[in-house]
This record gives sequence, C-alpha cells and structure tokens, in this order.
Amino acid sequence: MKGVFAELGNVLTRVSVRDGRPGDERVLFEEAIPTTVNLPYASPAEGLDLVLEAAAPSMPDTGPRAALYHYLGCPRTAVFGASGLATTELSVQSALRRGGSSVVQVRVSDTAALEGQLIELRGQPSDLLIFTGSGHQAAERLMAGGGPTPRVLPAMAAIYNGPKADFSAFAEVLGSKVDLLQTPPLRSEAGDVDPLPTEEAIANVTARILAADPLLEPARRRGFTAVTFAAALTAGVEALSGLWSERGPRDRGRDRGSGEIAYAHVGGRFLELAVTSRGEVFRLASELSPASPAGPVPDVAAVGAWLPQAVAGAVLSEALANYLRRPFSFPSTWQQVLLLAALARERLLEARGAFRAPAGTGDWRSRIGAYIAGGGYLRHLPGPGMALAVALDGLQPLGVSEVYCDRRDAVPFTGALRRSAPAPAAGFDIEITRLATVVAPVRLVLNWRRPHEDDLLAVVTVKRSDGKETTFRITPGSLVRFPLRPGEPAELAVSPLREHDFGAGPGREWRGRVVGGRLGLVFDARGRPIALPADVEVRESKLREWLNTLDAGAPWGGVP
Amino acid sequence: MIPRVVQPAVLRRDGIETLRDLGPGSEMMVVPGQVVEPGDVLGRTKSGTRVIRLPLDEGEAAAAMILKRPGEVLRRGEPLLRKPSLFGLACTEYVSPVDGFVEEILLAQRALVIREHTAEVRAGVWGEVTGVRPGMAVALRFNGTSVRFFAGWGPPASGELQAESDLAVSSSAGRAIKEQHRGTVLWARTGVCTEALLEGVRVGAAGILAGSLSPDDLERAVADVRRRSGRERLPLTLMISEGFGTAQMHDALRRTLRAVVGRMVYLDPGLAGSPAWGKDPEVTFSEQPEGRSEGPAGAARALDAAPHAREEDRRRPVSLRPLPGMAVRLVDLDFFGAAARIVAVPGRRRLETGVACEVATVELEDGRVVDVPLVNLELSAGDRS
Repeated sequence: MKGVFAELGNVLTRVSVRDGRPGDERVLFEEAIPTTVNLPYASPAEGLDLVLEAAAPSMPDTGPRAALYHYLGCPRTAVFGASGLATTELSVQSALRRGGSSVVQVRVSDTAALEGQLIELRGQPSDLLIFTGSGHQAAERLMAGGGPTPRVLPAMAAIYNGPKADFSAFAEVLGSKVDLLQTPPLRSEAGDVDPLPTEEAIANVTARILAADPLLEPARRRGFTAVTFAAALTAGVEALSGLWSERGPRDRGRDRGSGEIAYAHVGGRFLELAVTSRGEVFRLASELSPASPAGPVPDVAAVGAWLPQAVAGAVLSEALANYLRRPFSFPSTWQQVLLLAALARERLLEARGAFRAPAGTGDWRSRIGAYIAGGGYLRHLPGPGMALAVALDGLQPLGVSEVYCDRRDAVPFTGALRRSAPAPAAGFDIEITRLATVVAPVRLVLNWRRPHEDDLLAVVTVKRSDGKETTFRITPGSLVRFPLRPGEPAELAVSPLREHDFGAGPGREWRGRVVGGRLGLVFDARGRPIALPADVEVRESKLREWLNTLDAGAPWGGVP
Repeated sequence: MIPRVVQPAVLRRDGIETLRDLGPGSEMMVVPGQVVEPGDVLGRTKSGTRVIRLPLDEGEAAAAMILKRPGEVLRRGEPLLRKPSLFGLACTEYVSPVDGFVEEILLAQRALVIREHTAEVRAGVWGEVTGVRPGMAVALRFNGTSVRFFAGWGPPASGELQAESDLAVSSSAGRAIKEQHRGTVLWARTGVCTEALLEGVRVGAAGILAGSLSPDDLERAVADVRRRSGRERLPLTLMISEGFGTAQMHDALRRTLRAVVGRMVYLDPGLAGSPAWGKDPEVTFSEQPEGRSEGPAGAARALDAAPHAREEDRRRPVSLRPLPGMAVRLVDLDFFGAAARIVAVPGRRRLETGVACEVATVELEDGRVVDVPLVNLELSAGDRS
C-alpha cells in the first residue's frame, strides 16, 4: 500500500509518497520547498500548493493521505492556571498531546506579571484557551483589555475543566465573544485526576481549527486529512510503545527493561521531546526564542566545543547566525556537517535539560530503553556514524539502551496516519534505523585534568548467537565499538567494578539480550554529562578519535 | 527540492506590491483603495518599547513615589511618579507619555521601561493601499524602487537617507555620525561596528543600513544599551544586505541607494514572529507623483474610482527552474550571501560528504566556479534570462 504525506513545517513544506511495506527504500517520491516564498502576499499555503502540484503525477489514486501541520506550532493554546498545580500541568500536557506544539501557560497567581502575559496573549492571535478553574480574575482582566483574538475560528474556542460550581462564573465573564465548552472536571470530587475528557475536547476543537485553517486548504482540496505535528508525534510514539511491548523479547530484540521511549525531534523552530511512562506519553515542546539579537543562536562557545577543528569564535558565530537565517540550506562540505552536528548536539542537550517528568515518576532518564532522534538536523547528516555521534552526545543515554534515528520522520507520519485513518495505518510499519545498542555507566564523573581513581569500570562479555564469546574491559573516558552486525542478537554481561552502575544498580551485573545496530554495540564511558577536555588541542584530538570510532564518515548506503 | 524564489535585489518598476507588517493585534488606520503619502499613518502596532528616564537625582529615589508596579497598565497622561520638592511643601507629578504597561522598573539606572500599546507605522512611499489584513498587515502598491536586504532588526522606520560612510571601524564612526543625523537613515559601505551602532543610538538615528554585521558587534551594542537603559533591543532599525560577516554591500545596491541620498526611504525589517526567511527585509522609496503635493501626515484621501487589487487577486508565488545564465544568491555556508550566475545544471552529483543531490555549477563574481546544491541557491523572480 502507498500513502501520501504532506507536511507544512516551519522550515520546509514537503510532500512524500511512501510505501507501507517493509524495505530499505520506503520513500518513493519526495518534493520540498522552503516554507513561505518571498513574494508579496505569498503565504505558506501557496508553497504547499506548489509542492502538491509537483507531486501530483507521482501520487497514487488510492491509499491514505495525511497532512502534518507544524507551522508556528499551531493551533496556539493558552492554559490559565496556577503554577505547580497538577491540574495546570495536566492541561498543558493534554494540549501538547492532542493540540499543537505552541502551548503557553498564563500564570494566574503571578499578579505582578499577569497584565504583561495578558497583553502578549491579546497581541497574538490564538486558537484555544483552557481554564483550569483558578483563573477567574485573569479571565476578567483578559476580557477587560479587549479579549483574545481568534486566529482561524470566528469565535475564540475555550475549554473549562475546573470545578463544576465555578463554570457559570467563567461563562459570564467570557461572554459571547468566547465559545466556552465545559468538560468534566480534571480533578473529580474523589480527588482522582482524569485528563481524558479534556484531551478529547482538545482533539475535537483542534479538528475544527484544522478544517477551517486557510493554510491547509490546498491539502484539504486534494483529499488530505490534516493532523497537528504534536498530536501525530504523540500518536506515533504511543503506537511504537504499544508495538514494542506487544512483541515478545525475542521479536523485539533486546530486554529493554521498563522499555520506555524518548523521542527527540529537533526542528528549526521547536524542540520536541516525547517520553513514555507506563504507556502514557509526556511531552515537551520548546519554542526556540531569539535569545540573542542575531537570532536563536545558542551559546556559541558551547557549540564550538563540539568541533574537532579550531574555528575562530567570530567566524563560528557568523556561520551560525547565517545558517539560522536560512536553516533549509544543505551542508555541502564536511566542515558544514560538523558545524550542524555541533549545533544539533546543543539543541538535543537543551531538550534533554528542559524536560520535566511529571511528579511521582522519578528520574525518567534512567528508565529509557530506546532513544530516537529525528527532525531536520538529523535528516541532513550524511551517515549513521555521524547520526549516532550527535544522538549519543546530545541525549547521553544511561545504562543499556538502544539509539535509533528517524531520519525519514516515520514516527510522526505514521502517527498522523493513525490519527486520520486508523484502518490503513495498520498496513504501515514504523521503520526507523537502529544505530546501536549503547552501554553507558549511569553515574560517572570524569575530569580530564587528572586520572580517574579507577583504571577499570567494568568487564564485558558478549556471547554471539554462534556461541563465540568475547571478553573485554571498559576504562574511564573510552568510547568503544563492538562489531555486532545489524539485527544480530547476542547475550551481554556487564560486570561493574566497585559501585559503578550500568543500569542494574550500583555494583550489580547487567545481563540480558541485545541486538546490534548499524554501528553494532557501543560502550560509552565518557562520563555523564560527557566530559570534554578543557585543553583545546586535547579536546579536538579526542573528538576526532570518537568520530573515527563511530565511523562518522561512512554514508547511509542506498539512495540518500 | 524547489529552490527558494526571491524578488530581485533591486526592483524598480510601476505597481510594486509590498506588505507593511504591523505585527499581530495592530490597529489599522487605512482602508483598501486609499491613496497614501510617505508621512501617512497606516496603523498602530502594539509592540513598541520605550524607556522613560526618571528625573531623580542621587538620594531622591527614597523620597519619590513611583505610582506603578511592573505589569500595570498605563494610559497616556496618567501619573507615573510623584516627587516632593521644597522640603515637602510642593509636589511634582510626572505622567506617562504613551499608552502601554510597565515592563520593568530599573531603580539603579533610574529608568522605567514601558511597553507601548501603540507605535505608528507610516507608509513611507507615495502609493495606494491594495489590501488590509485586519490586525496584521497592510499591502501597498506604489511606483518606485524596492531594495531587498538580508536581515533586519527593530520596528519599521522611515527617514532621510544619508550619504555612504565608513562605519566599520570605531575611529571613523565617531567622525561620520553627528548630532544632525537625528531621525535620519545612516548608510554604511561595509559592516557596522559596535561603536557606530551606539553612536547611532546616541544621536537618535532612525536606522542604519549596512552590507554586513558581526553578531558579536550586535551583541555588544545591545549589552551596552541594556546596561545603560535596561532595554533589550536597539532603539533604531538596523538592516544588513549581504549576511553576517564582513562583506561589502553589493555594487548594484550601492548604485541604487546613491541615487536617493537626501530623500525619504522606508525601512521594513521583515515579519515579526514569522520564520526569519519568511519575508526578506526591504528598503523602499518612491517618487512624488506629478500634481500631488504632500499634505499633513495622516490625511489620507480616497482615490475616486481607482481600481485596486483585492486579496483574491494577489499574485501566486513563482516556481522557477534554475537555468544557465540565471543570477542567483548563494546561501551555502561557504559562500553565504555571494551573488553568482548559473553556468550549468548538471543534475544529481555526489558531494564530498558522500550525499548525492541536485547541484548547480555557478560562477561567483570573483570568477571562481563552484558546485553547490540547488537548495543552497536563491533564485531571483526577476531574472529569467
């Protein structure tokens, strides 16, 4: 079965025809254009129309058609609630799961800054307001200042999920300018919290917005069902999580422990992270704000620290500023690839650092069994080694986990399909590249200026399916590859010395089944967070050594 | 991949359509079909920030009473500060000059930052309003010239263009920028250094046009402005034509700008809140039509029976095929901002990284011939040779 996928993104507007059957080459046709063309009045809708026209001869007459909507993170949602309350946090999560990526929280208890927040909100057209019950005065002040401006719908859509008794007061304040919908309270009388009705209401309002959004008109006209990127990513990660937990340990490859997934998507405007916890998906969508006057440039020195060759600070900041003004430009030389890979590492670290797991779920990082990296930055990398270098340094997995690359955005596209047409979605496999199974100590602090107190961290034994056994040692600061073929299973035993922890607990042996990725097995003992030598020459030499270890110059193979 | 299509670097013709982005939530003051002059107000934005210097000497801060807190709304004329004088027998009240809200009170700097509700955006050209996107933007059609730039900061601004000068080094910046440049648009031949930016701010220049800029210079200038006044942005409009770095402004642009020195130009630094490449910044100017004398600012007149474009009539974006001979601009990081001409389009080739993609062979202005991925070209809609 063939499906057609369109995406109205923040950097690129794309259309691809994909084959649902498993195989090496799943994308049969792809066309893209930088989102928004620079002519008077030109809008992203016209760019979408252009690529759809270009793709028309290659589109199958039958089969599912799904359009991902990621432009500016719409629909824009504002959640009114007090900071730190579970109802506020859950409303934000619900909006990120079923609505768009642009979700702002209006901190109703912060009276000093409230008016400023409301002015920002009024000044920017939005799509949906969610009232959690504690923002009555904020709602009053919002309306007193002229009220919000709806972006697409004739009247601003709003959802109230607070205590039932307060609904009429909110309805009265908001008046006829706002189309207020009441859902069952997020927190029931018994004190239980149920976000499902709120999520369903958000999904319904989002569907209405997508059906009315003029930017999607070219896709609607051609029979596409539009889904927001946020909802598609959530659905894709849910599907993947369900798929992996359904399969037995033999089919799914290795023993993933709790088997939780962390999917990081690094785009031109948003950092997205979806983390599963006992079957539920928790999200982060962080909009890259222009931190510096030159644009959303991260710490230039931090980016420069990942470069294996000396680049003057001024040259680096100019190159980054230029790239971020034209993020669709393609890296044509190794130097450019290294620069973008360095930027991608910093973006991933930013996403990893910004994500806050919901209360009561503990340290989410130590439970992740599979890391998946996707988005525009990963798509531009020329081979699996470079992709693994970026994912390892940016996501810094702990214990024993698998690292994947979703360079074709298979997870969000399959998620979009599952949201728009569940029946055909069953015919589409989620195919992502397993880069490696990575083994890393959970707590290891390194300082390159003095030797680590242990010469040895662990003794590793890999028993291959043909019965051959290999034993070797892991030393502090090392990055080692074991050449297990892609898909080849093996029994792995990691016996830590002293109190070192490789995922089974301090000093306890980790034993289980693992599967090789494109880069086999990788043992990463560079510390958490990864310790980069302070001395420039030593650092550059180490970075080169690590890139060589991961064979970062090798191409993907097949048609890139 | 379909390369990005842009307007020509210099577009000189009748019926240029341009969009004045006022930002979300703006108040529109014109209607489609209305004829406008350079000084006419198109609308009021809600994004301006203003710093009010509090008239407090050392030791007075304790006695004075600041009547507003951060986040509070202000109306024009509303009291901001009450300062006792004559040993408490008299009291002087200072009022807000604008509508807005108090963003920050910086007692150490004796300054108050007000986010204005309104900042006026003027037409900057002689033209006609062809469309109004309520709360967002105004489309204008005019006869004149539009010059495409690469990046811009600050609000839309207009002013008299000054002659080209060297603002790249601090020693010449001090000599080139004088008090009489208040409200005018300064023009730098190549880059613009931190000292020139700060000097422009000090004299109250409306804007600075330059070929290029170092992000570090910009950061330093903003840091200095922040330290002195608490503002997060430069209080002038800055636009660069070639990219970040040290490139000189392209000859065609310089020739065009040289012809309008001493005349009013309009600086549109691009769309706020949209992707940075969503719309290139531009400088526009037009000739005063014969038989029309400039009226008072804001006095807009309806044009009798004049046809005007409707929203639905707008031009579709152009999809161009890259062809030999076509003038392009490179966005490849190794030749960023360079103007070039396509020599050949050999098709799919493998780059040094091992990735195969569609490439074009281009000749740079200095005679070098290089292969670059097609997506790293920006094609000019006006050049189809």
